[in-house]
Amino acid sequence: MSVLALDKVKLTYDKQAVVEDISLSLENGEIACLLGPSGCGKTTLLRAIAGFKSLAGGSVSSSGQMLSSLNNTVAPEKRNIGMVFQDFALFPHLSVGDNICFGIRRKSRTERRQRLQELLVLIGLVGNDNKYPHELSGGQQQRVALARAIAPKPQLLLLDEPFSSMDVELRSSLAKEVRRILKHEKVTAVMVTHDQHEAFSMADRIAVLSEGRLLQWADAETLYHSPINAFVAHFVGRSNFLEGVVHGDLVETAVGKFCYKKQLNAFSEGQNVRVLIRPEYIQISSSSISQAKLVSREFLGGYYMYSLGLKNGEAVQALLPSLANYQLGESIGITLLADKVSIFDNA
Amino acid sequence: MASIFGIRAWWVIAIAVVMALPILVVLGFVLQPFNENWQHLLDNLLPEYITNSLLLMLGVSVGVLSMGVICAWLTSSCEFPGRALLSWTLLLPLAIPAYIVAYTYTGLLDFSGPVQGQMRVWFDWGYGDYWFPEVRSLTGAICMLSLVLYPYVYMMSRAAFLEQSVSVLEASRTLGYSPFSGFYSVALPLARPAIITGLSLALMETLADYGTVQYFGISTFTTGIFKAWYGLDDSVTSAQLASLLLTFVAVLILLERYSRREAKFHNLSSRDVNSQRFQLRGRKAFLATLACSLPVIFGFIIPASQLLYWTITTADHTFDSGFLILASNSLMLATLSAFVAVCLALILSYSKRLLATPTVKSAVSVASMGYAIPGTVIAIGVLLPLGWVDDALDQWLISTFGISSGLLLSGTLFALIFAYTVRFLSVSIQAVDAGLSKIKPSMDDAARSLGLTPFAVLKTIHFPLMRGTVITALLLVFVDVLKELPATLILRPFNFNTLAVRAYEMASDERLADAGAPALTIVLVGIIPVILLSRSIANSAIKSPEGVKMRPFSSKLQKKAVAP
Repeated sequence: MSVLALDKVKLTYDKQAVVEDISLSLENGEIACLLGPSGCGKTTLLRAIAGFKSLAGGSVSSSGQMLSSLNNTVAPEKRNIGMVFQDFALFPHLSVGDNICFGIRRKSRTERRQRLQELLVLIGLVGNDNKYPHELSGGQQQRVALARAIAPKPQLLLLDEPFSSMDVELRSSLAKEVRRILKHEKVTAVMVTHDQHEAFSMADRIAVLSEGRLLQWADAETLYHSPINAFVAHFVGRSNFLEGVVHGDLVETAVGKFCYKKQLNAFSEGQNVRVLIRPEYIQISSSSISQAKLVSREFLGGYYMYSLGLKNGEAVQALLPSLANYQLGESIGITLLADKVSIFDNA
Repeated sequence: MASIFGIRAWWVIAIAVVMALPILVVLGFVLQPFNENWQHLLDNLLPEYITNSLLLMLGVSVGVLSMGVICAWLTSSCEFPGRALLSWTLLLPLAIPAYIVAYTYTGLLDFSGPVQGQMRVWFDWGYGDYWFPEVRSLTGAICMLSLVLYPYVYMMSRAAFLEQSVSVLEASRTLGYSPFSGFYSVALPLARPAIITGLSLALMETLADYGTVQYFGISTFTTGIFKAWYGLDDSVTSAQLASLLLTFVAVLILLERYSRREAKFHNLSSRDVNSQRFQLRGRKAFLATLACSLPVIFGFIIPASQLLYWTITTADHTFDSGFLILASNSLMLATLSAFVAVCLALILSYSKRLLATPTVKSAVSVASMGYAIPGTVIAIGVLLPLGWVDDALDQWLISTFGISSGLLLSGTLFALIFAYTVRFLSVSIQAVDAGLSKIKPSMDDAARSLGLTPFAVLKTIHFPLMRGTVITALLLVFVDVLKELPATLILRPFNFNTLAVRAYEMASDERLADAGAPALTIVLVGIIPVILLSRSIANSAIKSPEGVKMRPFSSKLQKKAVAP
C-alpha cells in the first residue's frame, strides 16, 4: 500500500486556488521531489501533507489511513510525519542532543540515548550533543534538523527546500549526504526544491509542478529525455528546439530524419512539430552531410558549450569535450546521438 | 492554530477600544461649547503656552541632537580611551526623571546652593554683586530635559551607525572623502530616519513633562491643564487644552511613523562584525573622551551624587515608617500595573502573530498609542468617564437603596492602574513582540510535526523562550510607573502617596534635601532596565535575556566555516 497517496488535491488561499487536481502516490522507501519554479504551490502542497494546511478538495492518505479531506484534517502531531524546515527551526534553548530527542521524549532513557548515538554517528556529529544550535555551522544545523525529524522514525519525511540557505558547493555534497542518510534509514521522503540538480541527485521520482498543476510525475531520466511538454523540457535542463515535419514514424529536421517517441496525442502525417535537442545529443561526424558553423562558445571546464548555426538559419547548442579544440567560424559535420527524439506540438 | 488557542479578533478590538477610551474622551471635548474660561485662556495664557512649548521643543531638539548624534558616532565609529565604558554609561541619564534632575541642579546652583555660596566666599561678594545664570528659567528647563532625554537620540542613532555597512563608508573613502567628511555626506544621511525617531521620542517626553516646567515656573500646556483642572475647577477647559496638546503630539507621531517607514529603505546590509573603528590619537582622542564624558557627568554623576548627599544628610528623619509606606505603595502600584500591562501585551502580541489580519494589526497599534500621550492628558481622559460612571452608580444606589457608593472607580487605585496601563502598554508590547519574533513560526510547526499539541508547544517552546522577555517587559513597565508623576498626582486616591509624589511635594515645599531619599530610590531602581538595555546594545549579536545566543542561523560566516 502506498505510504503517501494524493488524490485530486486542491488547495486555496483566500478562495483563490493555488494547487489543483494533484494526484500521485509514493511507495515505501522512495524519495520523491516536488520540483517547480517559485510560486508554483509546491511548498503549500508540502504543508498540506504535513497537516498545517487544510484541503479545499481531494484527499491525502497514508498507508490506507485518511489524513486530510475536505472536511477533516488530522492534526500534524498525530500524523507520524517528520519535517525538515527551510530555516531548520532548531530550538535555540535546547542542546543538539535535546533537539534530536525532542520527538522521542516518551521513549525510555536508554532507548533515547541509543537512538541519539546512532543518529549522531549517522550525521557525523558525535560528541556535539551538548552544544547549542548557534555553535554549529549551517551545514551542521541542517544535519541536526534532519536527525531530529527522523529520530521518531516517521513513516514519511518532508523536506522544505532543505539546501536553499547553503552555498552552491555545499549543496551538492549535502544532497548526497542526506540521500545516503535517508536510504540508510529507509525513510520515505518528499522534498521540495526549485533546483533541478538537487532534484536529480536526491530523488527517485520527481513531480514537476507549474502554476499549481502537476505536469509530469516520473524518474529523472524520463523527465530529462522524454519530457511531456516544452515547459518541462526547459525546466529540467538546457534545451533547443528544431522545427520538424512528421513523416510516418519519422520526423524530418535540418540535421536528418529520426524516430520519435510516441506521446499520448498522436501526430498526423505532415504535421509541423518542435523537436527537442539536448546539447549532448549532438555528435561530430566528419562523414555527415549536415553541416553546422561554430558561432560562439562558453568554457565549462571539461566541456565547451558551442552555439551552432545551421544552414537553414536555425541555431542549436552542442556540448563537446574541451580537449578537442575546434576553431570558431569553422564548419563541421554533425549527427544526433539519440535513437529517439521527443517532439511537441508546434504551439 | 488561532482557533485552538481560543484567541478571537474581538478580544483585541475590545482591548484597543478600552485603551483608546481616555484619548477619545479628551478629543470629544473639542465638540463641547467653549466657555468663558477658554476665552480668558485664549486672550491671556494660550499664546504663552504655545510659545513656551515650542521654544522648549526647539531648545531640547538642539540639545539632544548635538549630544546624542555626536556621542553615538564617536562611540560607534571611533576608538578612543574609555570608549567601551562610555558607550553604555551614556545611557544612564535615562534612569533619572527630568523633574528630579531639575531638583538637584536647583539645589546646586540656587542662590543658597553650594556653588554660589562658595563663589561668594572666594570673591567676597554679597547678594546682587554678581551675575549668575538663573536655573529656574526656560533655558534651565531646556538644559535639564536635554540632559536626560538625549539617550533616546543616542540609542537610536548608535544602532543605525552600527548597522551601516562598512563598505558604504569605505566607498566614500575611495571616492576621496575623509572619515569626517564621509560622516556628513554618507553616515549622517543614512542614519537620519533613526535620528528623527529618537528625536520625536525625546520631544514626546518634553511635551509630557510636568514636573520640571512646574517647578521652574514655566507655563506650558501641562501646567495649563493642571491650572484649569485644580485652579479653575473646569474640566471642560482642561480637556480642551489637552486635546490641543494632542495635536502637537499627533505631529510628532506622524513624524516618527514617517521616519520609521523611511528607515526600511535605508537598511542596506549588515555590518561586518570585525570592522575597524577609526583610531583617534592625542588631542583628538582627548576631545572625544571629553565630549562623551560630559553628558554622563552632567546627566548622571552630578545629579546622582547630589541625591546621595541629600539622602545621607537627611537619613535620620527620612527613613522612617512613612518612607516604608511610600516605598510599598510605589512597589504595589508598579507591580500591579506591570502585571496588567504585560498580560494584555501577551494577548495582543499572540493575537497579532496568530490572526495577522489587518484589523487585528491596526487594533494593536491603536492600543499602543499611549506612549505618545502625556500622562496629564491620559489622567483627565481616565478620570472624566470614571467619574460619570461613579456618579451614575451613586445616584442609582441612593434612589433605589438609599445608600451611597462614593467613588468606586475614579477615587481608587483602579483609575491609577488603568491610566498606567494605557500609557505604558506599548512598552510591554514592544518588548513582547521582540521576544516573540525570535520564535520563528517554523519552530511551532517543527514541534507540532514532532508530536506536540498546540498547548504543549506553548509549554515546552514558548514558555522557556519567552520567560526572559516577559521579565524584561515587566521590569520596563515597573520602572516607568515608578517614575510617572503627573498622572499619579491627578489620579491618586486621597492621602495616597508614592515616591515620585513625595519627591515632588518636598521640592514644592522648598525642602529639596528631603526629596533626596525618594528620588534616589527611583533612580536606583531605574538603573536596572538601563543596564539591561545597554547590554543588549553592547552585543551586536542578538542575545536572549537568559544569555542564550541566537544568531541568525544562516549567517555568511557560518557558511564559510563549513566550506571545505
